[in-house]
Amino acid sequence: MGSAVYLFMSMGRKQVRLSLGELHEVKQLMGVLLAILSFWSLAALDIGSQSILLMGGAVATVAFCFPRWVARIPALVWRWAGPMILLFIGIDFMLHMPAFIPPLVRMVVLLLIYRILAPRNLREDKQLILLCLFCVVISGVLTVSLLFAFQILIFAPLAMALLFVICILDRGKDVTPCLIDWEHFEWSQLIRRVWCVLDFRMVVLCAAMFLLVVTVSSLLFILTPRFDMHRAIPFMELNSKARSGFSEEVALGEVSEIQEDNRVALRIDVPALDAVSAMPYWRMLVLDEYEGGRFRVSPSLRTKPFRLFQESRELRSPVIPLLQRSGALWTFYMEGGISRYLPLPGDYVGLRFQKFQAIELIPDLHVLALDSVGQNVFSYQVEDLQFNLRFAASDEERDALLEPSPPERVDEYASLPYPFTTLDLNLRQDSIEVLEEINRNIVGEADRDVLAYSRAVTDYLWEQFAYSLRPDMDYRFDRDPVVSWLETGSQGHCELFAGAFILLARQAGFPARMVVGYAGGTWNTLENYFVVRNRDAHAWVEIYDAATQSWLRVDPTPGRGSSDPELIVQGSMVLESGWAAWIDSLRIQWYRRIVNFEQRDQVELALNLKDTLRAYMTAIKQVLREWGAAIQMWFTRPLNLGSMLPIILIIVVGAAVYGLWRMRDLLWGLLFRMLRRPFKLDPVRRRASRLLKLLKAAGIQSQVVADLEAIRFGPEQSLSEVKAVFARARRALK
Amino acid sequence: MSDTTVIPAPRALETVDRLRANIERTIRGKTIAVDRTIICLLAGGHLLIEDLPGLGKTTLAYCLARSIDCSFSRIQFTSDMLPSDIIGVSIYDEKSKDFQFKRGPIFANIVLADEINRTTPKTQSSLLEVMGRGKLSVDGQTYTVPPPFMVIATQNPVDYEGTFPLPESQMDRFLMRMEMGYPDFEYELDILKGGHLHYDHLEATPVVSRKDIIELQQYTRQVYIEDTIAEYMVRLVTATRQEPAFRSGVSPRGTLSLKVAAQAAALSQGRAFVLPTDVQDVLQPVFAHRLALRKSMSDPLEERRSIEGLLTQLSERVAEPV
Repeated sequence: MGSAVYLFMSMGRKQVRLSLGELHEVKQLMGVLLAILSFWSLAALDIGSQSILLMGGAVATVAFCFPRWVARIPALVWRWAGPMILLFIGIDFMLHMPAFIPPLVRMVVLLLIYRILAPRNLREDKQLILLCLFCVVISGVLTVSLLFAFQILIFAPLAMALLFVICILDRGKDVTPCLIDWEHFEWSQLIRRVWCVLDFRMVVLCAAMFLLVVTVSSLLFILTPRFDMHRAIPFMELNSKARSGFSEEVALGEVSEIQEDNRVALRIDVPALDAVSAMPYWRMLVLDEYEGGRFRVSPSLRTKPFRLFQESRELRSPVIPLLQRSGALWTFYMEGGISRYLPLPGDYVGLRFQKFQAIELIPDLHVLALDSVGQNVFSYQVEDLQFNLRFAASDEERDALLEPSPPERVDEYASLPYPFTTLDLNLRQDSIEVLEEINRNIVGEADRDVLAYSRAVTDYLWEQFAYSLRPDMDYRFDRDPVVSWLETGSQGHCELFAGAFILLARQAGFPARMVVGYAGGTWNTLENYFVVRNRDAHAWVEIYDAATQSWLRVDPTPGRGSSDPELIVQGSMVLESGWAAWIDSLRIQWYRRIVNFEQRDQVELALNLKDTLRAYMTAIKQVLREWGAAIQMWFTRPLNLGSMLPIILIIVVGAAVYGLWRMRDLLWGLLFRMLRRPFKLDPVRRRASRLLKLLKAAGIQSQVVADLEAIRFGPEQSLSEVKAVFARARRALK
Repeated sequence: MSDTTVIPAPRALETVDRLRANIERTIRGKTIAVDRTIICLLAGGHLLIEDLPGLGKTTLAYCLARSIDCSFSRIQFTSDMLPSDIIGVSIYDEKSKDFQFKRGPIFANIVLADEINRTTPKTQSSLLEVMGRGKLSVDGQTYTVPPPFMVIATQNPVDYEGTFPLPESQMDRFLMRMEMGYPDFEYELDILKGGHLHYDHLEATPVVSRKDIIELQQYTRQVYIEDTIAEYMVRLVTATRQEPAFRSGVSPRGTLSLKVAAQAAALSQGRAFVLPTDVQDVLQPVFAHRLALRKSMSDPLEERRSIEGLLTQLSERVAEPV
């Protein structure tokens, strides 16, 4: 029998209040909940202190689920814990001197752990809220992830509720700490009590307050002037390491390692679905030098003449003729922690960043890099993007690559300058002989055509080797790994295919270089954007075609189209539309609307708002004018029954409703008698009960109340007396 | 219901007020304790006062007895006490060649059973039998104790060394349990100035006759209880049975006790009908000692607070009739 069964007309619920102890319990547990939330938000930061965060999370969870265990910690511990923590923080800062965000985060985590475990008064509770706010905000500012939006949405009501409880408990001077009896604490009991306290009005009020806060903060977000935070607070930048597959030096297998990761690396807002090539190759960086199983950017390419360092907001490139320009905009959102090289499939007219950006441009390679690997998402806009199969070679390359063999090395350890590195084999003689023999078998001596040669090599590789992420070969210490794979292997990953192709091509006298990036991707149908995941990481080859003086893309890995590099196979794009795609589409909304929101959008929004308001105003004026005209018409028209009928009907219905309302007591009584409810209350007592409720609500204390109580709860009285009392009660109410 | 109209409620109020004022002349600042004692008297129940020594338990009982012109006896319980020390004993009379029953201290109107938990269960049960039935049998002879009969037992809740705690079944015999509590600052100052150390020195004069009290006790049973109030009481009892923190709920005897206590509370306010507030007022003293926690605590005071807290929550949860 639940108590709800008994709630019928003559009953009211008493205002339930939580006791002081229960309020303290609620406060304590909500504080721990906040701490859990902030640990969670900090976990998004990649600062290499996951273990301490994990510990904090575990401690907080235990403290939340079993508060009695925490209560058993002797007070002596807290006397010593404070100085110890201070000592630890000091040492931590000293050891990691220049970098200060990781020790700062560790400090906050430690302080939080101390705060949630140690007994807290009201002052300490406020400290806790501040610490948690700091955590959530710092992780939000540093990562700008969608998760932050979600966390702050949980944080705001929790913190507000906690402050509310603190305000209730704050009794000015009386600050005697309340000892909570955690030994007899039970979750079920507390939840039931809190459930009793929550009434409809309170929930509505809280929801309204929360909505108000959200609205105000959204307005603030829209209205505050944009500024470049990394410029304003330069030390607040967290750099992370690039994935080793996308750095200046790539060992065999490092690109394939990225393929094991299914996370999204790149999201692209495209002008239209058919603007994307069926098999897009998102070039990131070009590795020209090879040595002992490692491809790298040669030292000459890392320095000035090849690399242009500049700081700008927009790059223009004159490559594309004016006629082909259409002004279509592509927006790239690259996740943090991937690489500092930006994925670009080909030439473009313009490239815009959100703010002034330090960049390194390598025009010879058609590659663009940022100054560091950011930890949060980086977005840039590209105008008139092309998907190049060939990249035009620069004049220096053209001149240098006239000769089919590189110049002799000055000494064994010095590396060659750039364009020659694409011809340099850098292998021992026996390895070169192996390559030579393979080349002889495939193409013979005569063939010098790049296209025919690359088709022949690709066909040879596809015939001999199968694709697999786990290559097999007899690894020999004294042998080059790619050459020994060519000799003994039967399956391999994309880097081995590309590497083998490059070595063979170089041996045959064709300059070739390795390109790493992503190939392919999927289409999110919910928000219509292109998604490239880490599993799409790929390595392919660019071979120099002396005839057209350009670098031709060749993909020697099997399963990616035809062996003819010029024949683009029209594949079908994979469409994503499931639950995961929906979650991902939320993320791109966040990037589009929040992360990418800048001053231009602000102005646009303001103008839009002005236009909309103006349109509304004119519409309202129009409607009012029409109404006025209609009313005027109605008055001037002669009376007839047809036009009066609706008005008469409305009056009649209104009168009927009013009459029913006046007679509601009588009707209720009738209904009551007819239905014979099990817990019946005769009409006189019910009437008295209602009057009593009204009087109590009005706060009236007089003889009438006592008389009414006598009617309600006492023995039956004569009707005339009852009526007199009722009359007096009504008078008192007025 | 017509017989209830004859309850002279104003006169009852006047009588009770007189009694209350008289007791409060001595027991200062303990309005609730005095009220509860009077309610217990009107309901014809017995009272268990659980508190530390020296807080005026004995004085309260003595004052009550004096004020209503009743006989008063005090039994100090010790561990070597026998039932005959309470009830009385039959002695062989040489002259009449017959056994003569010498009445024990129990034959009084107001009996103060001091430190009831100090004596053995055997002696305790002999007292409790009288409390239950209002009469007792010795050697086949039945004796009736004179009405009004009220036992005010006291026990020390803290000092449990060498005691025999009353089992729950015997706790059930007491209509109410209450505590005195320390007096407030200004009242203690009054006490200090007025200063009687022993209750024998108190000059309490009878203000109410025994007949009046017996009459009031009869009226109490007739105080009107409306259906929804009765239902409310049953719901409260049901709630104690459903509360998982309690080992067991309140027995039907407890329900009856709640009813009669609420009636007495109403009458002591000069009303011939019970209000929901009457029920709530007597809920704590009537129910608290009939309940035990499922997970018992080491400290009995703590346990009592916890039970009272749960009862408060329970009464907040159960919807009251308006």
